[in-house]
Amino acid sequence: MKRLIYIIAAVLCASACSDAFFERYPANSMTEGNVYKTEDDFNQGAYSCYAKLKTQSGFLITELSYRSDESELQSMAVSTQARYDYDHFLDNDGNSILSNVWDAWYNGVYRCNIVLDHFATTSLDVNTDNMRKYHGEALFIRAWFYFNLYRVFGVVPIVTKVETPATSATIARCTDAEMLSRLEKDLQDAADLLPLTRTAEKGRVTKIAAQALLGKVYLTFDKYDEAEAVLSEAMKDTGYGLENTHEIVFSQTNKMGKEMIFALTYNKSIDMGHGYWHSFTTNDDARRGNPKPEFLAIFDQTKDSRYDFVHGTVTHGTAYVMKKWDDTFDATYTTVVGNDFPLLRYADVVLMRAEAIGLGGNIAGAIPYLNQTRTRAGLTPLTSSDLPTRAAFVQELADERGREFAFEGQRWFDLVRLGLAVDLFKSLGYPINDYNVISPIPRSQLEIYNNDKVLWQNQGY
Amino acid sequence: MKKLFTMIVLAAAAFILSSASVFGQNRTVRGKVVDEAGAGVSGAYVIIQGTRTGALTDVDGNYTLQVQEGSAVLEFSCIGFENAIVKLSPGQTRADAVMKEDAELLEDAVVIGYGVQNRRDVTTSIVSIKSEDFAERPLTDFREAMAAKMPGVQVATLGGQPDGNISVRVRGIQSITSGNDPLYVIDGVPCDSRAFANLDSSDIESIEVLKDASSAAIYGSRGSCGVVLVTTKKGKSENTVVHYDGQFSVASISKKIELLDAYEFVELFKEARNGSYLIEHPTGSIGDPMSVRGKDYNKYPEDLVKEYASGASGLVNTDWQDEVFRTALSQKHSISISGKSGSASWHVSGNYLNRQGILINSDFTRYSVRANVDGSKGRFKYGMNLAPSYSITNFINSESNYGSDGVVVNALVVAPIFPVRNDNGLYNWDMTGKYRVGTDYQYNVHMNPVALANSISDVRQKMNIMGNAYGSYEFIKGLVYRLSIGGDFYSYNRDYYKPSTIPTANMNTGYAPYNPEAGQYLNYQPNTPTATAASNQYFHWNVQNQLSFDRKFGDHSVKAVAAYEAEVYTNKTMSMTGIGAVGDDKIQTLKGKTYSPDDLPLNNIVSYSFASWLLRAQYSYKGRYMLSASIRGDGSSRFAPKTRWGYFPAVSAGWRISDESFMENASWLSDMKLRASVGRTGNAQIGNSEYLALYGTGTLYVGNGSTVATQVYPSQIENGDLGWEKNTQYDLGVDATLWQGLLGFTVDAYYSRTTDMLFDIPVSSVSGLTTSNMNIGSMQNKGLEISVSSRKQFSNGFYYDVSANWSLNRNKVLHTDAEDAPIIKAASYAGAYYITQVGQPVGCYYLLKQVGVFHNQEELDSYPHFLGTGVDQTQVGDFKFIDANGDGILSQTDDRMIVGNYMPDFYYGFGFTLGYKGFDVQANFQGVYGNEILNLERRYICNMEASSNMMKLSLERYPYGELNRATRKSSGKNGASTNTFHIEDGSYLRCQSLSFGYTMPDKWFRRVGMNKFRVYLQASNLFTLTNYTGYNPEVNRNSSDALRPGEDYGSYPLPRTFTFGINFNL
Repeated sequence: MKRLIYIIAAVLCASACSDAFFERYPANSMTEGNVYKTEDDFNQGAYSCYAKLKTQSGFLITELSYRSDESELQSMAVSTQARYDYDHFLDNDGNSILSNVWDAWYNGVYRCNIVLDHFATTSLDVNTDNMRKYHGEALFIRAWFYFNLYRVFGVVPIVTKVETPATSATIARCTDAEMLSRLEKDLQDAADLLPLTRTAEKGRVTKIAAQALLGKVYLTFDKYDEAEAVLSEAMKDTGYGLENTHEIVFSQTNKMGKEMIFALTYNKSIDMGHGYWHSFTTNDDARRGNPKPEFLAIFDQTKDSRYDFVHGTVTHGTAYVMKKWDDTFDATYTTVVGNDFPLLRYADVVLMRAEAIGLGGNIAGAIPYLNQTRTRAGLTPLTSSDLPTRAAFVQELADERGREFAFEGQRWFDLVRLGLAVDLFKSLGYPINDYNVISPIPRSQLEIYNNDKVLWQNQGY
Repeated sequence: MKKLFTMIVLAAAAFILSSASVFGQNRTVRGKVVDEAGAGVSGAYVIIQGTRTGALTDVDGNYTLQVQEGSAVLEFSCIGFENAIVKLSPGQTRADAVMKEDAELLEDAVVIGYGVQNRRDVTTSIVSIKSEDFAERPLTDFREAMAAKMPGVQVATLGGQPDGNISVRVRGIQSITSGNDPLYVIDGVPCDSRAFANLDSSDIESIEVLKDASSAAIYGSRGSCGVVLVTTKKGKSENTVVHYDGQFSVASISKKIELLDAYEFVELFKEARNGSYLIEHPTGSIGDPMSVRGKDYNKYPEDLVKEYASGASGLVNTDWQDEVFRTALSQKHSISISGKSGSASWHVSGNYLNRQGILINSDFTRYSVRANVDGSKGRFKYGMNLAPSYSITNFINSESNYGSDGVVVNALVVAPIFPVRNDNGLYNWDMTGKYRVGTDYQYNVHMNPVALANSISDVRQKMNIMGNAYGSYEFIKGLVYRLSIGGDFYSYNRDYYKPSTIPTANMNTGYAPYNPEAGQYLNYQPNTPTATAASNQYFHWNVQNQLSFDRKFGDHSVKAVAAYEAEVYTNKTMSMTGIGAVGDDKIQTLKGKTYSPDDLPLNNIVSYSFASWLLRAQYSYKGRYMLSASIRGDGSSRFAPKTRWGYFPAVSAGWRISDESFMENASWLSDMKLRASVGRTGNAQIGNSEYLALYGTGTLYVGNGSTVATQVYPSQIENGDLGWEKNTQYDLGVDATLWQGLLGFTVDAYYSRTTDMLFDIPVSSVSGLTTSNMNIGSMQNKGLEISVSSRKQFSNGFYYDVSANWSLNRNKVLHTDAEDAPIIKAASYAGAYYITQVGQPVGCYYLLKQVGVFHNQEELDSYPHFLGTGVDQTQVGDFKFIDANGDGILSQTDDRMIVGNYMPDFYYGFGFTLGYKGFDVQANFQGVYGNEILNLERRYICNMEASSNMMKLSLERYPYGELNRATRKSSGKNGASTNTFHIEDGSYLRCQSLSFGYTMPDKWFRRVGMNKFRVYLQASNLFTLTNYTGYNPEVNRNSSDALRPGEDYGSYPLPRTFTFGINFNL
């Protein structure tokens, strides 16, 4: 009865049309009113940025191995047309791989901006250890997405807060300088905000990750002095270092060891795993085709322990799994394995330092760094006489990075950054031109903008 | 709160005081007010003309009134009666009055929403039917009653399910992405289709449809697809009437699809495998042994072929349609007690319906009760409706398409060479792959439809309590305040169990080869059983405050309504699915089952609200010039604060030209009225929270041992600009009656335009989204509706009543998104497409156009065809397609054309009643002309692969006829590209009902106290004239998706029903 009277009264009163009457929210979702109220809410927001990064693993693991010389898709089916085109430099702006990463990475940027916007408006203390960490993580991950957008598409529109669909279509592609300064600022801020040491959550970034990524950004923009400065700073962090062997980095008993600076983490025993990466249906070199023989040629196949790691396989039922990514199915969740996928390793910091010093002009000074991963893999150390020219140094550096980071999603970007991509793929018989080092902006986006002052196509497409 | 009550009390007091002020009287006048039959009229209002002094009659019609000395005039009024006047001479103290029933008002009142109106005065486009129009039809869903009776209202029976499967469209399609269902209002309470799922048509007094925007605008944001107003029965007669209505029906399938028998099937089966062998081995011969044929799909089981080719009689030859369809029985009983006594009237009824489906194991049972009570005390009136109901459906999955548990589809595709049961009495499962050769995994794997229908239990229970209560108070004559509170509670429960005895229909695994030791062809492995429990509950309340004024001043009649209304819907859903252990069917609930991560229990609660105000004024001068204007404001929780309120105005005018003096000489023209209206309505049939920024949760592993973290991510971006779709409609109409009803007709022409149509359009991904809902599209409909009727009663007792109607609607998309890009959508099968583009109707079929087959190599070489190698290449005997873009290259995407639409050119209905004394004959026909249907069934049962059974039509294959040749691997993309071979003309004319009735003379039953004893025989869906080869030309599998209408892909065939009915009054 009371309720009835209330209903009648509510309706009769003018106040019945107050906003409360219309505020009806679905129980299975949260609205603005119940998020970002506590530190833990910010933590869950930061997680959402990691989650987006993780869903993009397929591009790093699979598509980039095809784009580079690591793998080749020899024949095409309807469902693999996009991959075939991306692999064979049949670049076109309708390729769904490109529109997928464009959409997904910008969605990642959006997730980071949601967190960062709330940092700008929250009444909570943003200077606690936790809040500083979450803040740094959102900046780091946003920089990660922008850096990868830049590496795939060249300059792109930069948004640093949540924009509506209408306003975002008015933001033009940035300049190289703007991209550099954005990444520089965000990663420096992240390095200041992020903690030095890892907590139990080993998949989260620390200060060294921001420094290492900034180092790679500088190298990409040919800023060798700045790279050397930030990388030498990073190497002062004693919490990280090279493992004794290359193999142990990937061992399932040494997950997130001291060499792993940042990785996508998995756990098969709680159904948080993934399917096999780089497995083959045959173990016959001639029939399986991958890794490509031309890529395997950069290895010293007798001395380099890393050769067998990518060429050799482990048999699991009908699958032949690349040793580097070997794991066994979980006993309960029988379709998943648990390898982590490294995004930044200490070995990368070491080799980037070699790159910064060497390309900065001091090849002799770079060689000790270059030798660290060589010798760990059983190769003889190099001396200055082995690398008499800058070109020889660049080639050796690219090869060493190829061997060290094979099938880790680095090879294509390394070849582009070091200026070797076009010649290499021409020599392998692909129809590559200079402009193919960056990919076309997706046609679907160009059609939406329909304004080439804001979003224009890259040259050559 | 306190302030509110003070206000109400003060307002009420003011009216009472002003209307009943008492001064200077000095004699008491008494009297009795009676109707023409002599019964007292209660609640009549007696007023001394020229004063505000008055009184009300009591239950017996008596009144007492203080009147000043001298002569005076008393005026008597009561709703439902014409006003009466009695002159008082000086000293007179008794004045009785006889009131005549207001025939006009009672006979032809039209419910118009927030009031009733005399049919004569209606200036908008409204159609109505009364209970007698459908009382004797065996209806499950009351909406079927509207079919063929209302121009502009297209009622399609999409399937023959025992619990009904009806779609209603008023004046075509008004929206592309939002819903197109009309709004239903039951006794003034708006509701969704769930609310009348259990409504029995026996309880309905009348159904009105507000078709034009001017009439529907009174329902504002929910009126753009028309409004269906349902009014339930009330007690009318002073004598208590007990009415019984009984129906007993027998139903059977109205049409079977002609399929091959086992001998024909085996012949085609062999031919198809020879065909594919020859594609891959052009130098081969059909006599080559299986061992040299290469791929497994080029081989056939020789034993089987030899057996059937011998023509031996007595081999298995199952007609699967006969096995799954049956003769179904139904009965319906309805009893009502209604009456009126003094100040109260009531109508109480109980209904029972049990209907078997023509598919085995499907049935529907419904129990419903209704109590409608009305009463008055003085100026106060009150009333209440309460209708609890319960129904239970034994559901059979009839609509699912190929590859699932759909019973109808499986009955069509399973080859006739398999028996229903093995010799040991168990279901036969050989159709899951017995004759699949080797690894021919694309061999179509089917399920035994009889076993599916009988073994799977899918019980759906619906409970609904619908009700409303009102109180009204008449302050002064004609000014009434009314408060009404109504709503419904609805509960739906589903219990599903699929036992482990049904194997998986998996094409790649699970096939156990023939086991000779078992003595049976037991291609059978028990599977994991599945149990599902789901429930859905609605609670909906609606409160209306209404102030209305209705009064005549001489020749001027004025009606006005002001109302304020609020309503809230809350919906709670819950669903759980569990998988059991193989072979364990002991407990057929969720107990002991396990849940896969995808089937975790899911529950949700959503809610939405509307608040509205409305004003309407109607004016009529002598019934000759009529004007009506209204405006409604609607606010809804479905829209952002900025766009929350929508305003929906309407005006209409009418001119009774037949009353003009210059028409006096046209005595043949009894009545003629011209109408014009314009109005704006809205469409709020969108999701509940599409404007909100929403966050969802998910799991994330971040390298922390065995701990999984919870992430909160933005799942929906705020969209504060999201607003109402608006529809503006213009209507011109004429209503005319000639020669005193010998001929009547109504013509309406309309034009409507939907603007701000919602589209989910691609946006800059830089925003983080790829698409966003925007109010951007527009569309138009224009149409013409004509209805004609004639009725006459002859002095010898013969009478007839003939009526016919015809409707035409043309739909055209004006604007889609900013670029006017066409919207291409795949049908349920992804190789068939629909296109929605500017300048064309919504949802056109977009397919390759097939023109015959290639008869010889020369013909093939000279005409564009599919190139490629092997099966990709068109060969002699394959379909010939038009190279639509004329580039000389045949392409599956570039050469698609618009090849038809589900929307008809026109639709029509006609019917007649002939009567002589107690005998009568009634018939009703309905028809649709010029629509096309996408018959996707043909992809399976006429693809000439013979991996499933084929239609008899397949006998016309090349080289025997003009269809493509038989091959197991279709070449020339005959199989992969759906084309105009799958489009059929859906025109039909259906005899919807034909009945013979006899009402017996009352004198026969006087001694047992019965009257109006009537018996009848009725046939529903007696025959359908159509060229359509599927079951039902009204089929529309995705009826709620305007972008892809008209698909036939497994539908429940319509029954033909014969009903014996009996009804009488006590």
